[in-house]
Amino acid sequence: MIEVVNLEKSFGDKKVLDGINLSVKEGERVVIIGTSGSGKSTLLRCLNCLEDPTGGAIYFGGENIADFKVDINKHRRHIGMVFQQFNLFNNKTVKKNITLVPIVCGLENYRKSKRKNFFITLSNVFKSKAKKQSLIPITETPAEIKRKADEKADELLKRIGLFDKKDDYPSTLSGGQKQRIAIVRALAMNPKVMLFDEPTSALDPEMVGEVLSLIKEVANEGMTMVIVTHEMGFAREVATKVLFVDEGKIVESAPPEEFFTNPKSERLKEFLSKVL
Amino acid sequence: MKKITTLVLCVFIICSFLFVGVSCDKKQPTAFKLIDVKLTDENYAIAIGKGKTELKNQINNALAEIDVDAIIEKYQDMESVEKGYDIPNSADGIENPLIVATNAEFAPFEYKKGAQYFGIDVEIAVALAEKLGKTLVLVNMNFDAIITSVAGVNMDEGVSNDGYDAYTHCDIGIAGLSVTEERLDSVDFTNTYFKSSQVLIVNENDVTFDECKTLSGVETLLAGFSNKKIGSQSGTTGEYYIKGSGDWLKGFSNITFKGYSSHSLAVQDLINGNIDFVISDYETAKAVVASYDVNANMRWQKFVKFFFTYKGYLDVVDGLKNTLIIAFLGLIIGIVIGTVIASIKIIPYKNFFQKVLSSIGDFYVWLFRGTPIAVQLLLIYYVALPLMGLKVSSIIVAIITYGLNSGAYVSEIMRSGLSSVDGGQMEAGRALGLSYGKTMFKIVIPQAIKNILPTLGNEFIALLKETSVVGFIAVTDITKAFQSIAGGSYEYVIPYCVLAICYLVLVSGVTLAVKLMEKRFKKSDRSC
Repeated sequence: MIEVVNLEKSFGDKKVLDGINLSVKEGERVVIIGTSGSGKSTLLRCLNCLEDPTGGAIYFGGENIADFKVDINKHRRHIGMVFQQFNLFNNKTVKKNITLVPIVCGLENYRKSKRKNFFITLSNVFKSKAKKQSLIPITETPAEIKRKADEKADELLKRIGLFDKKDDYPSTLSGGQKQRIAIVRALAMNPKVMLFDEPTSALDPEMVGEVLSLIKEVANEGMTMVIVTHEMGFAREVATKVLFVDEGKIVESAPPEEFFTNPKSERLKEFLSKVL
Repeated sequence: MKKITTLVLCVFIICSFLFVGVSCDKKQPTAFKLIDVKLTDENYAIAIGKGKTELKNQINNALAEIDVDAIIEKYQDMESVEKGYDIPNSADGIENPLIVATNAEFAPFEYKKGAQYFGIDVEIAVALAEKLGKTLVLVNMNFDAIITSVAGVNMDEGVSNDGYDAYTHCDIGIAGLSVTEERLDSVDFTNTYFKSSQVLIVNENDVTFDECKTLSGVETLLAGFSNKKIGSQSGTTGEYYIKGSGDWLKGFSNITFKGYSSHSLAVQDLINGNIDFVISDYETAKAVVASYDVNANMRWQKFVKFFFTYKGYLDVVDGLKNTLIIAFLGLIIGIVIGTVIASIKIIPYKNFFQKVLSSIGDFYVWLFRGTPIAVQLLLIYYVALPLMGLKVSSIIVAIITYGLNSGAYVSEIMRSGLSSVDGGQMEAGRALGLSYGKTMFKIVIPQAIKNILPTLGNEFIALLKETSVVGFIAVTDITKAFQSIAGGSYEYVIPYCVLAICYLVLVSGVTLAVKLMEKRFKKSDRSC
C-alpha cells in the first residue's frame, strides 16, 4: 500500500533520514520505535508529506507523492493522521471537528463535478452522436453530503461514548477524550491507512489505556497502520512488524516476537535493555 | 455592579466637563484692546495660478465692476449682517465651477455661522462667480494650504512659466491674502481690492503702548523688548512682520513668535496669558475685539445660537458622518491589506515571487509607519495625485490614505495574531487534506482574529481620533465642524467640551461593540 524507496530528508546540513526503504502492505500494522532524535517521527511525517522529503520516492495509490507536481491534498484524504498534541480545531465544536473536512471535501468534489459536466455538455454540442462524452454521475446533493457526514459523526461519537459532548468545544475536554476524538476525526474520512505520531505521549497515565484500547479496536477491524510509540507492551500486542530506527536508518525490522526476544544488532539490544 | 459603576463614572465625567464650561462662564475673561497704529501697508488681492492670464483678466475686469467699498461698509457692523450664503464645498457634479480656496476663520473677510458663509471675500467671490457666469464652489481649508492648492504642482521647474498650465486643485484663492514676494514666487495676484495693515492686540490693562501714536514709536518699543512672546495666525503677514522677510520686513529677532491655526486661537492664548501680544490684520483685529466686548459673558448662549439658530449642527452631522466613514472604511481597507501582507510574511519557505511580495510589504510598512498621517495626507493630495494627473475627491483621498496607514499597523497586528495560533492547527488541517488557503480561512484566521480583537478595537479607536487632521485636505470632520463653530463665535470652551464628549461617546460605542464581539468569540473557550 505504501512503498518507500531510498527516502532522504535533511534539515539544512543535518541529515535526519538517510536511505529509508520500507513497504507497508494492506492490513499490516507497522510500529516504529527508536530513541528520541532518531528520526522516527520525521519518517512518519514524511509518509503524508507533512515534511517534504529531500530525496527518494514514496508510492501511495500508484503515484509518487514525494513529487511536488502531485496533488497531495487528494492523497492525504486517504491517509489519516493522529498527532501527539491532538490538534483538534479549537474554534469548532466536537462534532464540527469531525464533519468539517468531509463536508468541505464533499462539496469541493460536488462543485468540481458540476463544473466538469457543464463543459462536457458544452463540448458535446459540437460533437457527433457517436463521440459524445457521458456526464460524470453526481450521486449526492450538498444536503445529502452534510446529512451523511452528520450521521457518520454521530455514529462514531456514540461508538466512543462521547455523543453527549458533541456540542462542546475542545478546550473543555480531557486529554484522553481529545485524542479519541482526534482518532475518530481521522476515521470519518474513511482512510486506507492511519498514521499515529506518539498518540499517548502527551496524556496523563490514567488516560493512556482508553486511547490504546480504541487504537486496538480499530486495528482489529483490519485497518492498515503505521505507529510511532514508546509503549513497548502495546507495540508487542498490536504490531505485525516492528522497526527500530537509529540515526536516520532502519537498523532492524522483524515481527514483534522475534524483535523483542531475539534482537540481533548491538544498538537494539542496548535500547531494549534500557526500556524493558 | 460593574456596569453600574461604569455608568456612574461616565455620567460623572460628562457632568464635570459641562461644569468646566459653566464655571468658565462665571469667570470674567480678561478684555483686550487694539493698538491703533498701522504697522505695515499691504494689499489684499486674489491669488491665481501662474499662467492663467485669461482668467486673471476676466477677474480684474469683474473686480472693477464690483462695488467693494459697499461690501466693506456693510461689514463694519458684523452683527447686523443677517444673510449668509449656502455654497457647495465640492465641485463634484457641478458644471463650469469657479473653485475658490479660503479659510473661513478670518472674520470679517470670511467666516461661518453654522453652515452658512459670511464675509467680505465671500461676497466678492459670489459677485465674481455671477459676473463670470460660473457656479461658485468654496473649499474651506487650513490657511497654510491655500497658496499650495492654488499654485498646483510645478511639474517642470526648469521651463519658464510662460504658458504653463499646471494642475491645480482650486482656481483662485480669496482669503484676505496680502501680496508678498514669497507668494508671488508661487502664484500670481489680481488687482488689489482692499488695503490693510497689521496691528497689535494687547490686554486691556497693558499700558506698554498707550503713549505710542506713531509707527516709529511702536517699532522702537518692539525692538527694545526681551523675553516677550507674540502670536498670530501661521503664514499671515503678522508672522513675517516679526520674523522678517527679505527687504520688505526687517523683523524683530528679540521677540519670540508663536503661530496658531487661526487668529481667534491666538487671541484665546492672549487671554490665557501665554503670550503678550497678538499681531493681526486690522479688520480682523477689530472684529475680534468687537466680538469679545459684546459677548464676554455668554458662552452658552453663543454656542446654542451658533449650534441651533445658525444650523451649526448640520456641519456637525456632516462631520460626524465623514469621521465615521473615514475611520470605518479605512479600517476595512487596512484589515484587507494587513491580512494579505501578514499571510505572505508568515509563509515559512518562500519562493522567489513570494520573497518579492514580502519585501514590497516590508517597504510599505516602513513607509507608512514611519511618517505621520498628516504628512501622508498632504503629500498624497497635493503632490502625488496631481503629479499623476488624477482628480479625486478629498474624502476618497482621506479614506484611502487612512486605509493605507492603518494597513501598515494591522499587518503587524495580524502577523502576531496568526503566529499566536498553534502550528498544530495548520498541520492538522493539511494532514486531513485541506489546502493551505482553506485551512487558513476556516481554521487559522478565525482563531487569529479572536486573539487580536482587542488590539484591532484599539486600532479602530486610534484611527477614529486620528481623523481629526483631515482638515488639511479640506474635509469636514467632527473636529473641523466644532472648530468652525468656535472660530465663528470666538468661543472655545463649550465647543471643545462638547467635541470631547462626542469623541468619548463614539469611543465608548466602539469599546462596547468590541466587548460584545469578544463575548461572542469567547464561546469556544468555555463549556456550554
